[in-house]
Amino acid sequence: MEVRFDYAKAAPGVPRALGGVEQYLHSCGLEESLLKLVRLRVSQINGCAVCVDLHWDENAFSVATQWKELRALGESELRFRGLDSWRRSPYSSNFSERERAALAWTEAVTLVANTNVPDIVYDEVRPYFSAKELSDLTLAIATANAWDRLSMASRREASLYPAAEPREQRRAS
Amino acid sequence: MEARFDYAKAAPGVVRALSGVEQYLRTSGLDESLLNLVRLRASQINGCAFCIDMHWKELRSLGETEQRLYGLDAWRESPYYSERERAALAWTEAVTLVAATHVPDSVYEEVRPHFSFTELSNLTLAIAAINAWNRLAIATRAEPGKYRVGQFQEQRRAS
Repeated sequence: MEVRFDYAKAAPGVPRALGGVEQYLHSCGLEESLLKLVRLRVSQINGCAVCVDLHWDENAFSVATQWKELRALGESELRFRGLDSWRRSPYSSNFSERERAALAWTEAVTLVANTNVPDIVYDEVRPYFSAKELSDLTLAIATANAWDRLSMASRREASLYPAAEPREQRRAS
Repeated sequence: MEARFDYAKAAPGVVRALSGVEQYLRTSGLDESLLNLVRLRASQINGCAFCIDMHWKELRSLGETEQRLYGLDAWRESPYYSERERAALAWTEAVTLVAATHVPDSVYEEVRPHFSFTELSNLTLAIAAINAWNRLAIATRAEPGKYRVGQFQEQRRAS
């Protein structure tokens, strides 16, 4: 699959502008782990290979970095392997209730043209987030959707997932 | 129909963050009329009443005709949009419904002759941005209908 164009080269202001939104999101108070989870789920729904590749990687390694154990890496892989079936047992127990609410919101908001983000989802989600948090979460979902649109429209090249290499070593190479 | 909550009040940083993207787009060189047609079309697809109201008002203030406003959701069957506008609208539809369309080659080939890579990158960001605003308004059931042309510029100047 051929790359169509590199939007970052053609219009450097574009990733810079979205980067400004990311800067807000990473300081708005929402948990980084939640932001990463939502980011990955959006990319799965949209079918954005670049983004899934990148964010799977981020999720697997960031959790492993926190736990600092090779066995923890295996556990975190399991947690995210079930992400596209998060509603179903046994994968549902891998995610907290707040995370499940965020994932329900993610799906409804991402597929807004079909769902219209109905009351049934809003009522399910609202208890877990303040109005500010839900505003921020909605922006996070919208921003992930924006990156997906840029990557998919331009056929951005998906990097090959380097197997079992610590992130620090990959950065150095 | 009641608003669920006012995201601009609950999280003003959200508005500031997305407004930063719009500020960049204003420097992109893409025509305001074209951008507003794109925004109106995306808002129609996503069903965002607030944004539909805002963008037809913006278009009227820029001198847009009723015929072109009313005809927009059947633009493919209509002779009153330029080739460049038609390309932008095709791109808008494919990019807005990305989960379903994956922005296919057929649309890319139709669109490519009308825009440079820089313009296409900026146009794609504009589509992504209106999709973001649509999601915020629909998710929070923002009350549509009261938009006044220029009100957000006024707010920006006041803040």
